[in-house]
Amino acid sequence: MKKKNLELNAIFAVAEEMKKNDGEDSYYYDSKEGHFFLASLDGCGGSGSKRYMNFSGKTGAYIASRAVCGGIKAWFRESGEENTFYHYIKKALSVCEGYADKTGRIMGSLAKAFPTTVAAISGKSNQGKIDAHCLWAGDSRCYMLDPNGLHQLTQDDLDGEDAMSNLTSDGVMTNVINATSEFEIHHKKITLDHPCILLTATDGCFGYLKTPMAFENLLIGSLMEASSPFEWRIALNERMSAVAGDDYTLCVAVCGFKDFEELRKAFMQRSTFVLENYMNSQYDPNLLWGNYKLEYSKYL
Amino acid sequence: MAGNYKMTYNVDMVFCIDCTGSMGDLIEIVKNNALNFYQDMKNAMEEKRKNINQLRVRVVAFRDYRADGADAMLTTDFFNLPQEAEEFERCVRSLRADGGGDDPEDGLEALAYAIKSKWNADGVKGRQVIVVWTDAATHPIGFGANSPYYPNGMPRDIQELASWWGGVQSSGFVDKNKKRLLLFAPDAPAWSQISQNWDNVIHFPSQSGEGLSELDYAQIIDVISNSV
Repeated sequence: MKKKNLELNAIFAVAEEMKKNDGEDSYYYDSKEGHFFLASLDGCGGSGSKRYMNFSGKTGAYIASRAVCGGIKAWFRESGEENTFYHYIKKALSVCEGYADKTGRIMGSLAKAFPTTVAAISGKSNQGKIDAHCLWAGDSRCYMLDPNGLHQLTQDDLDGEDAMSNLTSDGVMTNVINATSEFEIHHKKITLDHPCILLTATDGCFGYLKTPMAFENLLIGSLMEASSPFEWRIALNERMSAVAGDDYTLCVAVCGFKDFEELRKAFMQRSTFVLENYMNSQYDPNLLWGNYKLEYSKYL
Repeated sequence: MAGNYKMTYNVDMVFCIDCTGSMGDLIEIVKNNALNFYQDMKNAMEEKRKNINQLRVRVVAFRDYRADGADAMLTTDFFNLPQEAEEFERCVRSLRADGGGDDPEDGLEALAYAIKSKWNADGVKGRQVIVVWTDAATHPIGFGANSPYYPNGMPRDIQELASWWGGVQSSGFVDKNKKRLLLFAPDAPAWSQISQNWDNVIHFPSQSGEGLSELDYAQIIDVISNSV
């Protein structure tokens, strides 16, 4: 039997900045000819707090997320090849460096010029499957959500133990895009042969919740409230806005569902399960995490 | 329910303030900045919708043990802000730029006191921040050890002080994830060495007598509030 083609159903972003016109996140999503792309970027405000007069007094973090996002956009439109991604980012950074004024030095092991994270997914339809290629640096994440649960696809560049401990330890990133020192863009390829949702998220989306389970509950709880992608987007924004203590950016691509009703129905049982077993449970969240992380970490 | 959950932070800050004569022009600016720091931090955090659960600040005012003897070091306990804002203000207002002897000061001993602060050790998300304000290089550790006022228990040298701060392989007296060291200090020994070699340091190189521009101060607030 021929397999159903996993076409892209919907693609959108949910984003909010805490301080109007000073947000340090950026994003880009696009699709063309069976190929889609999601990217969420988070300029690092602490290490990139130097302000540049040549950039209207904006911080290095603010400039970096936008400039690198521009580089990524050019990459998707002009190339899309894995081996050129890094070079497009480096080029964007070198433009920032070239234009930046050299006054107001900031030094120190933590200070970096134009630091930003990126989490991106390049997805291609391929004979009933989705070939998903994750590219990332820093603590922004790529996820896959299906009726079995939420799955983190990318390993955080933090020295914490796992997604639960990273919520409270809040350590310094061990790798981040910047113009001061070398950095690495990690790559991971996975093939998905079932309907699912792919997501890229900055830490503002998941970092202010009590547990990783709460992020899944936020995602599918808001889906249950909606009757269209537009309504889901609004519900997601309302829920994230209520808890976030930082700019947040979530890019979403829905693949392989017949329509929105089928998407909603596919997650109905899971939604009840998460609510009953993780959100309303009386057990210690750390014990619950021990159980939850088996499925959550399957692709790590 | 997750919807009602709001992450909060405990923030501890130690201000190490150089109070020697050469800080004359600078110290009023430093004092005013220190006094405004709580409100400015609170405003910056509120703009970002970050909730500070507890903010504590302590002061370490330093000079030179050889030249200033009993007045070489003033240390306070942590003040809980805003509850103890008046006491904190009184303490900072009492600082005077005086003494110091030769050009370098005993900033490393001040840093040692700061590192050994009684930090909030609960498991909640938070920051442990040391801010150093000075216009001078430092003496080597123990330079003033012949003074009868030189304290016991100081590190033997800067390597031991570095181990107190901690690194990748050894944890020191400050939480490795929560710690931040902000230096408003000249690019001179030993600040430049610390700036380059210690973890989690941001260094704003200062020039003697030039004070703080609006931008520099805004950047300091940015750095801390963005790091929390």
